[in-house]
Amino acid sequence: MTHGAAIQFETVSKLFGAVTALQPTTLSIAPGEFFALLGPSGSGKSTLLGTVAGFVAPSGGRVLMDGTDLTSMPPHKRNIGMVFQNYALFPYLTVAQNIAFPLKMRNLTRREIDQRVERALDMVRLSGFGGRMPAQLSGGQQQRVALARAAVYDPPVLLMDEPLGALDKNLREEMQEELRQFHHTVGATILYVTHDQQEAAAMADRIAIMNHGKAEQIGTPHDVYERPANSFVARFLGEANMFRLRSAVPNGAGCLSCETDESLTLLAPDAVSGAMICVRPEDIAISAEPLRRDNCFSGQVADMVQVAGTVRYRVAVGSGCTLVVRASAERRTTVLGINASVHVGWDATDMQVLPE
Amino acid sequence: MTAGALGERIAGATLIALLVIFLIAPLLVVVLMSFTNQLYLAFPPTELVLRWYRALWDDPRWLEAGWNSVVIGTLTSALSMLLGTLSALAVTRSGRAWIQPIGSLIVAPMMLPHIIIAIGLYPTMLDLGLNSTYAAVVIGHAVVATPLVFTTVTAALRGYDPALELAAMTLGANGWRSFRYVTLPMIGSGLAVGGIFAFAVSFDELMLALFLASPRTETLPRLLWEHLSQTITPVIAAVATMVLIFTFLLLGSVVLLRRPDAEEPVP
Repeated sequence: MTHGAAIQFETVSKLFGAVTALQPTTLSIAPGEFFALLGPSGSGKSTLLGTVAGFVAPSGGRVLMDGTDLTSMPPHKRNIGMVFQNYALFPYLTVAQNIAFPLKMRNLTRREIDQRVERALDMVRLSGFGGRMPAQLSGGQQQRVALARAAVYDPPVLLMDEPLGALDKNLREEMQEELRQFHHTVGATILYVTHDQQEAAAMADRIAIMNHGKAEQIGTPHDVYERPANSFVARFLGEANMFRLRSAVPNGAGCLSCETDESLTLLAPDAVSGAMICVRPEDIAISAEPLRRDNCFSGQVADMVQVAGTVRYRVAVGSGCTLVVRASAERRTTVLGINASVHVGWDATDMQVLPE
Repeated sequence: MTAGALGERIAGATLIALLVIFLIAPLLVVVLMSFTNQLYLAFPPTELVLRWYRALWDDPRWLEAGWNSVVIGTLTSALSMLLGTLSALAVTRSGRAWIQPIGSLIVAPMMLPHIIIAIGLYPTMLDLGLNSTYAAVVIGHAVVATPLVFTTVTAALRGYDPALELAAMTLGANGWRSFRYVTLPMIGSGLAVGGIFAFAVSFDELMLALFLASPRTETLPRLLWEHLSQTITPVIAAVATMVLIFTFLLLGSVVLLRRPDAEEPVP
């Protein structure tokens, strides 16, 4: 068991020709932290990861690991572990030989290599699979071999580039558990790239939301979900009902009286001024009876989907405005059918006013 | 089976048989002629004897030319494998845009008439003082054989995830070791097939050898050519048969190398 290393990005940027892949980014990752870089493809998250691995030479800035400047160090000297999306196992080597590869590169003795490979196989619950070829294993097993190979030399930092991207949904959720466990065992700092917000939220201590080569917001999964910094973050993390403000007038009681593009009149918290209003689907109440909230509307259920304990409604209110509403569905809940007339409502405090 | 389907099958089988006859017949004629007891190239032979093989064995010039061809073929193959692999790596692994057209340039000698290459190389070799050495023929042959290695190795390099090499680097392999332990095993069979093709091209090549070989470095095709233009004896057929057998052995090894791995992933 090693202890993780701190990673610091100091105004790291990357240009590919005239294209900015990464705007100057400054970011500190604590030793042993599980840190996720979350964003759509082309957002710069893999570029940022590449600067740590050594595959991407920054156009500006520095990358530090425990205070050591990595910027001009070749990849093979960085002593960093990396797990790739398609595992990148060597197909002509057995599982044991794959895991032994980094140890061989470090010129360890035969005996020590054998012992460490055995331990690593144990850690990922694949003892007895050492003699198999990678192609004889399932996707999940291959990913565990890749984990063992990246961790067998106790690197203080592990990079993971969409490591669960090639697995099916059920296996992915199972592997999330396993990865958290794995992080706990090895203690290394993990820098994890993904475009799946659920995955990032389930595993990471902190998340950086990336967009257009820039970190839009950095914080714990709870923080960024509850207090998104802007409308991109709000939309990217889970679902959000967004309204564009046309006008906002203080009502004297600490609230704003707003009119939106959809001609809805809303009562919003008098927070920082902004252009967008966000309300989460689970914060909207829905009922066949009239509700008593700051903002109430009546409408019709346009669509309804029941999934694992929740019901997701699309409710048409007013002219051309559809709200997404999520209600928990217990066994006794009456589910409202399509075309049912309903009332929806939420309080001013459930909303956030965000910049564009 | 319906009558129509049966007809189709007969037609298909006939077509294949005709094709095989078309391809094999000239070879068969040469092989049969090499066993003749006549003093000239005669077909069909009236009697099958080994006299021309004995004549071949007794004339040291044939053995010498055969040896020259093997030496030149081996050196050509080695040089082409080196140059072909390096250029394939440059074209597939470098992200630079200007390097892509270089790929087409490397393949160009495959299309160009050998006589043009020969005309260009002849005075160059004279200037360099190489025109009576193995080097002259080997360089000439490498020009036309390198594209074959380049093509097979490029295909091999494009056939796997470049993340394998990146993985090797993060695991502690420097440039040379990631080539030695990852790239080479991955392109191994493609490289070997390209090398055999390069050897075969050199072994069969006449035009460049006519220009670039000297009596000391005379290759088998060149000696065959000289014999054909002077005295036509069935020894030519015997030599051709030996060349055929050798070429088929090379082909066989390519087929073995190309055989899909026993450990292919189970879909």
